Amino acid sequence: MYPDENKLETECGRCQSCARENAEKNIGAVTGKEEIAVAVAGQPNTGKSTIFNRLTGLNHKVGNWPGKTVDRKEGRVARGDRVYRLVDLPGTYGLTANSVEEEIARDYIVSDDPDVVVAVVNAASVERSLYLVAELAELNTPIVIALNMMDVAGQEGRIINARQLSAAIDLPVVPMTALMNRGVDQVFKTLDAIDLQHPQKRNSVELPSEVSRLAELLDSPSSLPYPKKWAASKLIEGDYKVIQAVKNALKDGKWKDEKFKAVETFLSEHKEAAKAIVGRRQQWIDEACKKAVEDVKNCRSPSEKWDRVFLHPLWGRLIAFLAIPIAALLGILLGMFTGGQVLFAAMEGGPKIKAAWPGMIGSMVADGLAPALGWITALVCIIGFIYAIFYFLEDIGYLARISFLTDTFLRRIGAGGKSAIPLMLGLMCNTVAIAGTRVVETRRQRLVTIVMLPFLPCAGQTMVAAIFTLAIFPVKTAIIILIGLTIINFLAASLAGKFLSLTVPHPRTDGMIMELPLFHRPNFRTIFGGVRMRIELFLRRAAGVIFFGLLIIWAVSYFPKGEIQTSYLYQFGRFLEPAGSMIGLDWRFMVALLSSFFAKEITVGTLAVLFSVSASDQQAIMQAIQNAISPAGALAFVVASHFYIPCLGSMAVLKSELGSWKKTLPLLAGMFILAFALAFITYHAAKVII
Amino acid sequence: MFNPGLPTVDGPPATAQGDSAPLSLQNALQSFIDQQPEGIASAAELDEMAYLPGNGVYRFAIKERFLEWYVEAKTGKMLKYGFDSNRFLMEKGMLGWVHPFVTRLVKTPFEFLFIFLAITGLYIVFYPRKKKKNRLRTGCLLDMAPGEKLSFMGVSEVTLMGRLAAVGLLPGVPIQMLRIRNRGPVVILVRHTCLALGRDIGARVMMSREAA
Repeated sequence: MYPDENKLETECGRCQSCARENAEKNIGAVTGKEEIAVAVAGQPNTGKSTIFNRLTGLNHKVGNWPGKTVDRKEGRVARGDRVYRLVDLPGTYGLTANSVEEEIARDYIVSDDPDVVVAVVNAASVERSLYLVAELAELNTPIVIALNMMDVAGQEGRIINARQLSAAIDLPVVPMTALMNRGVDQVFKTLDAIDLQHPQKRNSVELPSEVSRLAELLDSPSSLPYPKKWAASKLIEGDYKVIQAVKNALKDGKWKDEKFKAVETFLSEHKEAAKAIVGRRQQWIDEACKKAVEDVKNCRSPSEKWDRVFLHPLWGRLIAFLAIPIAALLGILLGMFTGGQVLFAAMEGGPKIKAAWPGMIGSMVADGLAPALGWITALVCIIGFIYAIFYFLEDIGYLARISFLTDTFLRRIGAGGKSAIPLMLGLMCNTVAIAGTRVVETRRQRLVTIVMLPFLPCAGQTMVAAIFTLAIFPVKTAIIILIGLTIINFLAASLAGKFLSLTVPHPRTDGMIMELPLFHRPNFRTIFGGVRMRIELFLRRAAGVIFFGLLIIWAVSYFPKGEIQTSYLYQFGRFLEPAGSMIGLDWRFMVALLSSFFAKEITVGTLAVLFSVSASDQQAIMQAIQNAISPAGALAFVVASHFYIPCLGSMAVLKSELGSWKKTLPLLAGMFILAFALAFITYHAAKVII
Repeated sequence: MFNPGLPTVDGPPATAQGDSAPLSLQNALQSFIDQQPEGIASAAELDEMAYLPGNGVYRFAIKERFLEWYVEAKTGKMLKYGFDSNRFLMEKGMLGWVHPFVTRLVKTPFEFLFIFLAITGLYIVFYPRKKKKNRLRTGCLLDMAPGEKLSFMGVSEVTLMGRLAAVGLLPGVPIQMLRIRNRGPVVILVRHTCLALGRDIGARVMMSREAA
């Protein structure tokens, strides 16, 4: 992959890895090498990510597509006198945009004009995955077809003749099995052989005459950001984004009104043209597959047998309802046993550090730095394990089944089937759950899931509520209050999700069309690559905010005199006391609520400090709470704590997943107001009843 | 722990109501001990002595051991005695011997389940009536039987046609119905790919009449 390695080594005069690093940095700057943008496109479930990982050798940069919180992976590979800049596009079935992901992939191919497109095709279902190629062939960009999963096709008794296929559509086809690293080098050899100076010869789909007639009607030079003929075919196919582009051009005055009218009448007169376009593409696919594909025997995959259990309305659901909490719990437990140990050590070592370095430094290390580092380590481990489990389930094909079973219900509130696991995680830790929402397929469903999550009570909030209710009420009442409250939380979350899905505009993608991939053995390389990417993104985007946020919270609870009883936090709590008295809380409870911003678990600890009792003695804390607060006030506190803004970690992740503070702050403000309003209502209603 | 061989009791017995006043607790207890009741050695072991005015009886009980004796309030005659198996099962069953709270934990899901079952029961009764109205369409994907093979004809909306074409649902393509239920999405096999389609989409997909 690095033919120039030796040369670079002599230049650098140091180790090979250093040379490789240098090569990475200088690649763009090396003169005489032409940079070639390669888009890796493919339908979902074709092994596109595996191919991308193999091509770039796991050394790629991850980030977001500009303005969208959708993953973008990019890697550079130097070969001969060319540097390939590979861009991994989100999976897309065709070039009509039905979701933000498909829109990104489409716009990149059509408007950003990559030099070459590597189209990944699944050999086990060639006829279906060639559809994207049929659409790509209508454009002028050179195409290399990566015919992946040849092994799976063989197992299913299908013989795909790559040479015949290549001859039929006149495009280079590389048969490969990316899982076993077969054919990867061949892709590069084919890329090397592509002549970028001359247009690639190909046998493309012959579109009906209506398309070229409509293309003539479009103004020239085109005011649309798309090639004319392509735009014409998409107008006929009713692509909302292209129609939007036409409307925008009309609004800007670039497009004349009479032209628009002509296009409009043409479209209304040729409604059948869309069917003709689709028909032609199908002919093209049939033509291509006629000689190249041969079904030797009809081996049914064992997936169908498994699906009888996993998609069963009763057993499938039971398994899913067991599998989802187990997956979520397992991830958190594994994380707690690894990274969590650092956090526990930091908490336990606190008093010792304080004893060793009395004064501000000791307190800063013991209460600020060490727990902050501990939290981040714990979160990294938990997020890593959770994603490892997610990607494992996704890779073996089970996540799609869970999605199938829960989709109907979750779609009603605007989330998707795959939101089930993040939502379950939300009951344990909001931070991890929000960071885990990238498994949800479309950006829109993800947005709804993210907005729902802060409303769900995490384990810390449930614990606080349990201590408060148990302190005041008999066990039975306390349990009823807790369960009732959690149900109300779920309702609030659903309402928030529903509200968002009603207000956010969306392409017409109502109704589920979902592929159920075959069950297959997991590829740990892909899983590991995904986990690495997620951890990297968390560290880059959220960890810093969490770290400094925790230090600031420590500072306001320490200064000016070095104890929480006189700190700025206390003064702020005092300042808020009038508001607190409206919901039956004195300043101590307000300070406890404020400090819960650090992490929900420490609310009780703060109260223990304020009541001057030992934090480990729950009986004493309960006693103190009992004496300090009325039952109505306790209820109001529990309600406030359940709906109050999420902890700092969640907020940092929330911002990184929503993309901006502009979207995050209204949500937090909404939650804050809701928490206060609900607490106010609860307090006054409870005062009347109790 | 519990006395073997004693009969089981099931609540207080019925007694004839009369005008005469009941015995005092002292007298009743005395008369109870005099009858040398089975399962108890001395009155000191009793941890409950209660007059049940509705039944006109005194109840003497050792709550801890779930033993009860009923004595007629007016005459002091022993009516019924034995082991209260009902209370025993309620309190010690369902892991109650570990802790009463554990019982609650075990029972609560079942209570929810019963509510759920009640609702589903009603739903099963009323749902078919509601559905019959919608079932008039013919020739759509939802009318296929599991295992049946037909070929895809098309959909009327342009945008949906594009979406379906991209996942392989093109005119003339054979479709095998894999699973279809009374509700929820359907699963079909199209060109070596399993697809799940929502019911609303399935209703819009037209199929050709001939078998593929």
